[in-house]
Amino acid sequence: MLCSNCKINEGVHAVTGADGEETFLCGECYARLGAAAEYAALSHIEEGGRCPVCGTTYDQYKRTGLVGCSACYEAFREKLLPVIRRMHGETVHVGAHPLGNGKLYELLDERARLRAELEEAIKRKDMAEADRLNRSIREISRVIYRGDLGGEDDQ
Amino acid sequence: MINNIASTVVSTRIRLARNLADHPFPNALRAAKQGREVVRAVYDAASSIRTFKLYHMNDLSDNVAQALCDDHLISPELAANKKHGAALIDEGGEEDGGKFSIMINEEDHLREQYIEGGLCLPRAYNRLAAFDGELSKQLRFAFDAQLGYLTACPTNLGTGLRASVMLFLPALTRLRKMERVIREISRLGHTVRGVYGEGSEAEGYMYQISNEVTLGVTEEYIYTEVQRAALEVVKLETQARRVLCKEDEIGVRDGCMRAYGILANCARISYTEFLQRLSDVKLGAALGFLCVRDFAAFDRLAAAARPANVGLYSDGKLSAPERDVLRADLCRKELADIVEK
Repeated sequence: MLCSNCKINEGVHAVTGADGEETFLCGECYARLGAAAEYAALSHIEEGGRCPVCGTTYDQYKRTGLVGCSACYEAFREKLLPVIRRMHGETVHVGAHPLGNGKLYELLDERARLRAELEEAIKRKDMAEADRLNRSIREISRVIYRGDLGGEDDQ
Repeated sequence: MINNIASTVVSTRIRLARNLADHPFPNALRAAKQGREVVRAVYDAASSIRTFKLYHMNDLSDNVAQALCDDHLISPELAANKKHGAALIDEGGEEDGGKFSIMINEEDHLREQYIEGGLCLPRAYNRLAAFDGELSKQLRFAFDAQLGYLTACPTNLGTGLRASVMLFLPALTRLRKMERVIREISRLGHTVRGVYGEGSEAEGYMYQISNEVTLGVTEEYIYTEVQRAALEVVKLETQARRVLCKEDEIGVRDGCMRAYGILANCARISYTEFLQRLSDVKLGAALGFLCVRDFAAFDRLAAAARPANVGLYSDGKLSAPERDVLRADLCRKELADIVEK
């Protein structure tokens, strides 16, 4: 099945859209849209331009000068590029980049998932499960903060 | 004799705008819980690198918020965002020469900042970049292969870097040359504005020069160009001071010494008058009419004498006349240390 966002690569990550339907994203789109993809629909962009992830419309951007999330840049890319060129004279970044890597992003996703489960367990008053989840979250946090994830270190 | 850079450049500031990839940007945050998640993620990551004190905007008194604004550690916009806004202020103080801070949920999730006295953009950038690099190993920043770091406002895209230099420009202001300087600097792709941010009046002849463009150029290019522009303005201010002296040396000396007389002997002084007199003293000291040990001490005194900072002694409960008395006490004591007899 093709990725429901770029419609180019094979969709490998299952996410649930706002309509409750399961849909698939390729690794690249999943990494870019991040966990935001998990809580919003990744259906087509509405007429007039509405970000499928945060719901910000292009009209809202024009009014406030602000986009609502990182996926807005994908949703409004064609319209924004000329604006960005006017502002900066360029549209290609040539500076520094984050040092995090795929392993870190997997751990962050895993921790976010466990935190949501923890909240559910607390709501159910299942303290044994909450305790287990808490320990797992702490362990993941320790790995993240130790920072030995094999990230680039070239800055 | 104080050199021209030391008597013109007040401080250097580097700011990096960053967002978390998997959260709506601050303007699109709705439930308080969403904002708290961002604060928690940033606080956890930043605290593993340095010791920060966390301030939530919703439980900050107006006086403390104003004091943090005056010190440029938070913006008035952040202070007004009671629902989601927070700030991390470096607990390490300024022992290593500068101060780190992070505004959380201002226009972007993170506005990392490093402020240091004097003109030192390359060092300030390297310090903040090292911190930012560590943060990026723990947080997934919104980053696009083409557009770089993604920000709520496209004007900050790419590097997300704002490099600023705070300048004391009394002679250019008095000679009414600032309009021309601002025009020239904007032609180089930089902006000059009053120190207290966009639209604010230049207080005490203080201006801030910073880059406009953040995308399509490297960080090094940005801070090198701002530093170069700042040095150019220092040169213009030095020339203007010479002109001012040539036109009326006795007048400038008289203004400086009278102002010094008032500051060194007053028993009560308003902030407006204090700022005006201190600027006259600084100008005179820069021209050598007064001998000072450390020119930057004037700026530390100006910061300590601001209404919100004087108010901190009593958690904002002092009246304006009471603050004026405290300010005068502070002023007499500090000036005696700064100026050599």
